Amino acid sequence: MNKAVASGYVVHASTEGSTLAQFSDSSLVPPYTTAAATIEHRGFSPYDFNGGTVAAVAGPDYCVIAADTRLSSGYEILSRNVTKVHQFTDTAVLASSGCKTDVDQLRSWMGIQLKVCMVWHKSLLDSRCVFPF
Amino acid sequence: MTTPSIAQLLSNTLYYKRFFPYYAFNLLAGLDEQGEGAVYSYDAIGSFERCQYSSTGSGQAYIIPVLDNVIGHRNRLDERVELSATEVVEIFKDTFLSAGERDIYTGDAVELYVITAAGVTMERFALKAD
Repeated sequence: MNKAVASGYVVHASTEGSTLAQFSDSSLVPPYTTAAATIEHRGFSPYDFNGGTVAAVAGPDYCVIAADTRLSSGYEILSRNVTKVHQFTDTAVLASSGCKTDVDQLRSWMGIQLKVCMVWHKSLLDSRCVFPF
Repeated sequence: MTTPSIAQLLSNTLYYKRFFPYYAFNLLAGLDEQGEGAVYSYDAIGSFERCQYSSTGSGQAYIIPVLDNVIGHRNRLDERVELSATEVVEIFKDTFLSAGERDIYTGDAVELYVITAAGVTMERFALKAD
């Protein structure tokens, strides 16, 4: 159904959700339709590898943990100075490589879990019990 | 909270997302209740193990064999020597330099943390920025 707009252009009122549905070839525009299924985002991966290396050594009364500071994506360097290390308590330090956004979220969530755990368990002797977590 | 408890908590936190994992490869380091060094290494879904040394990330294949030989004293016939924290830091500097030469994702700088009963100190060591 055509609808004349004040500016003089004719707009095809679309009965489908996408405003680009006026293009008849449905394989060019998401949602891509194939014989088998409708694909929303072709070739999208929720993960990206941001690179980097971490290493750690335990000694009799010390621990050394090291991580590089480069953040990359593919062949590009996104930053030369991003830390991969996070300190949880006086003695526990976490270093992570992989997908930076997942690492940040994990840290944030772990921080919350730690606080909740300490609230619940502050009266218990600490050992390897982290029930009900 | 002690390091073994945090290690278990991290494992559980990772496993909560077993079917849409955090794409994160973790190493947790700290002191246990006896004051000895503890290193825990993880996979993306929470499997973890306490070990004497470990490495993850893009350069792990370059670093682990060096740590096997120098820290684990594998494949060598000379007498085992106990290493101090400063010696391990120097070894790490050389190791990360070498990994940075071969691995394109490793470089720019290394942050070296030393955890002792007195606290946590950090040293920054510059690597090649290429």
